[in-house]
Amino acid sequence: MVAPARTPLRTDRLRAVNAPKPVALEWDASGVLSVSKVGKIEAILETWRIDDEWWRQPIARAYMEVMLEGGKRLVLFQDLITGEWFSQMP
Amino acid sequence: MVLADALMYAELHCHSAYSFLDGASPPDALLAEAHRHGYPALALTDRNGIYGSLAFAHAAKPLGIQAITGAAVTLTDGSELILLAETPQGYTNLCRLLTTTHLGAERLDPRLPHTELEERHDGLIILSGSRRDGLLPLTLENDGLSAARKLAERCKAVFGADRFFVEIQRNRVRGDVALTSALISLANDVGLSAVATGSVHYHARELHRLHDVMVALRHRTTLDGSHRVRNPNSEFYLRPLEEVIALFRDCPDAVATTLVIAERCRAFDLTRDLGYTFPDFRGADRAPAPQALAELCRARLDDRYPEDSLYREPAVRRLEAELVLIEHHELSGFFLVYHDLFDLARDVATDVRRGSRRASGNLLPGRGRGSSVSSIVCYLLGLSHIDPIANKLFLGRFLCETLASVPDIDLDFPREIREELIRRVYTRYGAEHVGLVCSFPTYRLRSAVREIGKALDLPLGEIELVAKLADGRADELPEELEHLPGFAGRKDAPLWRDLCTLAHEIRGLPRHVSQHPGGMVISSRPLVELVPLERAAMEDRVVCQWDKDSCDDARFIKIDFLALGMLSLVEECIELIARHTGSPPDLSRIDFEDPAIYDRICAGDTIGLFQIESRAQIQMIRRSRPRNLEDLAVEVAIVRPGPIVGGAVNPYVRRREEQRRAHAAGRAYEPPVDHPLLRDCLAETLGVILYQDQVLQVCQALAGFTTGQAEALRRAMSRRRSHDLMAGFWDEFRQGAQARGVPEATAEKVFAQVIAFSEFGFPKSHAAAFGLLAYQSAWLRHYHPVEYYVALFNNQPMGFYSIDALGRDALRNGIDMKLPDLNRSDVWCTVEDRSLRIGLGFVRHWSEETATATVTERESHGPFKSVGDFIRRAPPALKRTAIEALMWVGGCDGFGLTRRELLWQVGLWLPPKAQRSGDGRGRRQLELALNHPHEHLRFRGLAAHEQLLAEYATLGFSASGHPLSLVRNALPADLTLNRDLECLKAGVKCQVAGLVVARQRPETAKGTVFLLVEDETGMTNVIVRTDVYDRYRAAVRGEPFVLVTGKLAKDDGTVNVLAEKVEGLQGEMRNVKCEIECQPDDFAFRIPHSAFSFLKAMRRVAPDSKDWG
Repeated sequence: MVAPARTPLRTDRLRAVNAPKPVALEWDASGVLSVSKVGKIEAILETWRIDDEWWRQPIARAYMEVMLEGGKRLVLFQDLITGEWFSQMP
Repeated sequence: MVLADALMYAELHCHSAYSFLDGASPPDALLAEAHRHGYPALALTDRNGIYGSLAFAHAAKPLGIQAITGAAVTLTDGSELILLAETPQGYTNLCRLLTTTHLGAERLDPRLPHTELEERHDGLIILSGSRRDGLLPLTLENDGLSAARKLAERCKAVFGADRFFVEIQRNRVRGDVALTSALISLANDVGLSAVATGSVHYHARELHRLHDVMVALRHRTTLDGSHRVRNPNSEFYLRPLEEVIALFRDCPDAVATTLVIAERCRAFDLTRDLGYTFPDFRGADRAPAPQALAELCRARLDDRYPEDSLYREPAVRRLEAELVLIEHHELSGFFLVYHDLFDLARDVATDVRRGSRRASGNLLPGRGRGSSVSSIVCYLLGLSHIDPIANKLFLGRFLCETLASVPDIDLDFPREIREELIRRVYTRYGAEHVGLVCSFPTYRLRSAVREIGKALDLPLGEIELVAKLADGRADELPEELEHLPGFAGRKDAPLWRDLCTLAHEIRGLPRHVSQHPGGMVISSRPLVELVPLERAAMEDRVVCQWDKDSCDDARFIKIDFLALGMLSLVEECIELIARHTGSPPDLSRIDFEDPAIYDRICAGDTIGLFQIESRAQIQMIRRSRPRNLEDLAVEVAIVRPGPIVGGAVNPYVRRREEQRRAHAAGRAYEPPVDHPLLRDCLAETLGVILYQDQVLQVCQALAGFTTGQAEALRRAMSRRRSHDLMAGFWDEFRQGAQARGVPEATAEKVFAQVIAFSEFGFPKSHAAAFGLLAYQSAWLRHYHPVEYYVALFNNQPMGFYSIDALGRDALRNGIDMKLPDLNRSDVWCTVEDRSLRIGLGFVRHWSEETATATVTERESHGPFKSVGDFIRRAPPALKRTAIEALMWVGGCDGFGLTRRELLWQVGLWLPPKAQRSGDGRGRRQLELALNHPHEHLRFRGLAAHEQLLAEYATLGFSASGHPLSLVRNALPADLTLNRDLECLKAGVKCQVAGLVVARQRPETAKGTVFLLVEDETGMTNVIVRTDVYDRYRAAVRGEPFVLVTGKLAKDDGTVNVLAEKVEGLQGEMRNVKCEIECQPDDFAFRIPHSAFSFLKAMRRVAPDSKDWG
């Protein structure tokens, strides 16, 4: 029998896991694409697209999974409706 | 790879709307897009079928695109393969495999065993299938690399490396790159080639939404509920070539392979290589077909046209001319096979009628209809019953020198003969050689609203309301919504906005496969090698996957065996008359000029008759006043879109009146024509075009059309989109008319009338055949009314009116109707003491089986004596609800108890629903006739209005009269009864009320709605113009009882009410005296206490009006 935890549940503190974060992409002087304040993109591993929920709040996104300098992987997507870029963990 | 090919690609995996809820574009749109992008070739690979393939192949030719024939086949494990026909043998195998897919599995879940494909793949090129469902990708995903390799090796071994290809797709789905790499690697390891495909499901990206909805519908769920089965994105469209090349830039060989495969598939062209042959006639071994046909016809000539007949010479000339034409077109065998089939029909009729009195009624097994009735060869062979010489029928509509397709011979049969005949045709020619033609019902506004609304998860009640109230022919749902009460502004609301767009996109797309009303194809070569067959919804029926247009393009001989309810009615009527009089009347020898019959017809007393009973027909008849069979043929033909849109109706009526006056004054009458060249062909119809064949005659006479041009025009008339096709003849017409000195304005005027026949119209032969049957039905009704109405009831559904309206017409004609009676009724309606006794089979919850068993029991062991006796002896399948329904409608009144007392006793004998056991009733007390202590409680009988409500609730119609007769004193005092409208002056304001029997919104009426409103004394024609319709749409479309305020219009013998206001009939709130105090159980209905309550209860049980348009 597990004793009840003393810490009360705080549902106001629920948060999404791996929520997309807005990012900016920029080209440096040598023509390499990088994610601002994150790192240079060394390789684009895969691209894909999703279109969903068009009957409610449309989701149209072009995704790419990239490898950054140093080997870290990141998923970027462009919201095709607003044009904004976001990043998520793979 | 050649440099030019570097930018080339052929799409080998493409679904059209004929994948039924898996393709969002019609084949035409796919071709147009492919042409725009410069595709050299496109394969149509619909799911488990080639429904649109022939039309696709024909449409591709003028665009210069190579059409590749194929299909996506579902295997028993649910995976798919793409099969492409490389050679004619490959196509044959494709058809056989698709047939096995359908016939060997559940109708709605076709599947093909792998073994069948392994045994029959010669001439086929096989692709491994799509990312989601393909055999190889699924095996790779579910069972791993080893299993996939084994499968690939097996496929190579069985099909060959040159026939089996590993399909790779890049639709920007996550994982595509890894999957395609794995597949390419696998292909290389095993020694197979990879081929790039697009898995196309629509021609333009934005249609992905419609495709999503279709997937949801296919899985019977909403968009929200179909997330897992929908495509993840909008990348399944037909891409521009450069996009495809870029997507597959790392594997250019896979792209090049598409062109190699396309080139190989050039060896088969569906428009050219089918190889259909018609079966031989019986006796083909004894004499060649032309000789056999000529001998048969000449042998019958003397019988039909004796030497001294007025028509002998023209008949001989006509016969010789037709025989020459028939031989020229190599159709002699075709006519002889038809003759064989009609002989078969005679055998069937003899068997079906055996033992019945109608067997000696000299009834034909069936009757010809359509343009074939104009052929003397058909007349002599017995395929037609109308003399083409005496009736001056024009042959050109049916047969001419430049005939491009096989002529249609349509035959009508009574229902039971037709059913048996179809079975015998299968037996005679073999199941593999016969198939019914299919048809493709398409999405229209109402079906689109209902289905898409459900997928969008819109409130069901609102969807239903919109579907019911919206104009089914409306082009735009947004406009309709603006006009519907409570829906204004919705067109911009979320979800409703999408509904509007999607309803527009889905309109006209095929919904499912259905059976053509009567078309059958017979082939000497197994039909399954020419077109796949599949099960129809009706049991024991198999349809081919092509509709009548494709069958026509394939030059299949399509035989039309149609079931005509009126023929079944006539057969039964003859039988009943014979029982009463001892001998059946011979309908071929009745007086066809009987003035008593024409008097009734001209008075508009035609409800229940063949072809001339509709609201529009009655209006017309009162104006045109037919007095002979030729006039009746005109009557049948004139109330059709062709003559109406062509503006023939009013001129015809006017000239007919002029003709009558001229004849009355002893003068000849010369009808005006638009040009003297038209006098010969239009004189008999007073200068207007009424028949389809006159269209051809007019083109020949005014514009000098050759028989070839006329034949092309004839074909255009019977096709889908005939208006556009016929409009294409304008230049030729204008030039031809000009060459004959016809002014352009005249040519234009006449051509407009010609174009009008792109709408529906009848050939004269058809109208003559139907006019004859119309007269025979009128004769039977006039001289044998009881038998006629009994047969009319027993052969419903048919015709223009509900059985409720027909019943009241019977009452108006002095026929007494007796309610169903347990101890007197048969299964169906019968003649009893010169009244119509309603059958047990008409009672709600009674089936033909339970009614038959009950009657059999009664005949074997005597009448039922009490409730208990009935319950003990009734068939076990007869449910308590059925027994109660019979009691409610008076079927057990003979037991001497009131209906409530009878129902009370049922409750004592039978347990409530929750306690029922296996049989239909779960008897509480079984064999012993034990008395129950509460058995003899007394209850009052039903009041008149309760009886009427009971009749509607249990029979769907009333046998006791019109509902308004019970509440007449509660309705506004200044209402005018239908019988009194005649006495009012034209133009006066009036109010009428009644039950809406029919609602019509014909396409030709430009938005005007016609209501047929019936009160106790008759039916009033109400005309609702568009402005009034817009204001009172809900009432016009939806109210069963209406109160109409308007003006009286009288014209040419017709009486109509021009509506200014239409509302639901509420009645005044005065109570109709009612003594009932208790409320019955939940089976029945709440007992009303006032006229208002009665009408409210009636609204729930009133029969639906017959709605047209």
